[in-house]
Amino acid sequence: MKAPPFECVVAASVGEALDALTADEDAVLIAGGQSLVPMLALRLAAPTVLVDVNRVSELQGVVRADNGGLSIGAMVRQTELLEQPALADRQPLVAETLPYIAHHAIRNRSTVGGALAHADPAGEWPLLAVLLQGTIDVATRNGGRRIRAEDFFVGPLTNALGQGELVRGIELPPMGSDTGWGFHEVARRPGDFALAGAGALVAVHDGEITSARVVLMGTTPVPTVLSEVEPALVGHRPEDIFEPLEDAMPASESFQGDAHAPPEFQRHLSRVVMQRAIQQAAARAHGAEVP
Amino acid sequence: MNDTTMQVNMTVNGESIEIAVAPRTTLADLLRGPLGLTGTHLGCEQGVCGACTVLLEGAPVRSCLLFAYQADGAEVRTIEGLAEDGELHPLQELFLEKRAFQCGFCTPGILMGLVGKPQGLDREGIRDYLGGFVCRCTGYEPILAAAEAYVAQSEDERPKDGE
Repeated sequence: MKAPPFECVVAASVGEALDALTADEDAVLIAGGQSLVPMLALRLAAPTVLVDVNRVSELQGVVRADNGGLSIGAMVRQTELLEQPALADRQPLVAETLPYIAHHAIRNRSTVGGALAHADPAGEWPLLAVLLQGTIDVATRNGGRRIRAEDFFVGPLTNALGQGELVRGIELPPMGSDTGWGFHEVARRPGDFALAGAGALVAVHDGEITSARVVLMGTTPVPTVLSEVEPALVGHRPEDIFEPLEDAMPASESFQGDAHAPPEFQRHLSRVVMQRAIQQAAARAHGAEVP
Repeated sequence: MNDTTMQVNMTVNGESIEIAVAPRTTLADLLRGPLGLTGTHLGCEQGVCGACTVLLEGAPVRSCLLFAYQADGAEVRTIEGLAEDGELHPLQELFLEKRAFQCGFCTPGILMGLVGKPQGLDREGIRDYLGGFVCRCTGYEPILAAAEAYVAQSEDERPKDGE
């Protein structure tokens, strides 16, 4: 189907975009359009006005932060980000994970800010933002505010932005040099929406896990740190985490289930992706080699 | 029906185009309708099937997920712009040789997706890359064979950037 009719404002600046968003409560932002346009084509949304920010230069740019982290503008396209040397240097987990987003042609238009704002429960960017404890930089009529990633994703396809606000970019703190990082997702075909995905940051000493941060997505409404998992892993060798992980996982009843996977399958997939992400991360951790 | 139109200028297969479009007219609809370039196909209109893939500033994009006004000022290349002066592009020659198409519905999208050899595509990456294109006829093997042969062609034999 074709999109319903709308008016279009091609914004030249963040200020102009905010004005247009505020002027009409049914106005919606369009960035890469790779999630929005299918929704319009399926008539799942019928905004009266599209505020196009593709030409807003303030939203561009990837900047190495003085603290060793990375600042990424909302309009940076996934492919463009993958081509930045700063990404491989400073955020190798992001570099590893981005190719899982859809397909190459989609990544050529899809933007970081759009992926964050869309808050897809199976989205790689929401998971990365939460795992890496990023901060979302939000433009508002009063200058701006910052929202921690874990507070930004409120529910499926629901973010913490108010009316007349937009994502300006994300700041990712520096990654620890001793922690290993890993990501794994399961989908029916390469490029499909993930049925389940997990990211992990793991530290290892003398062959045993000393700390782990694990975030799960796809089987949960928002990217989720399962609070029982990290303590269950500490003290175990990475190759022996199946049992502690299985014991620490919530029961099947805690998973909602959907058209693609009933709750038991979601629980199983969740365990699988977490285990693989943790083991990948452990293998990359400094000191992973057994003396 | 919404009457507002937007004026867009773009280059399509080397030709300058100036036209008024409704905001919601997709690039695919512009190409196939007013411009008569029906080689770009519409399979799903959701970005999944890849049949609508064209080159925007040399990079593959889903033309069903771009509004035509967004291509203002850009260079667009479609399947009609692949052969030059009646000479098939080497990738097209390989598709013929390997019998990499049957009904041809998915073919233009795959050709435009492959022609620029995006991301330094190599033999391992091709199978995953073709996951972005739905083909119902061939079972993919002959497409894979043509794509692998294309990737294997030496740098100086192959024209740059899908020329």
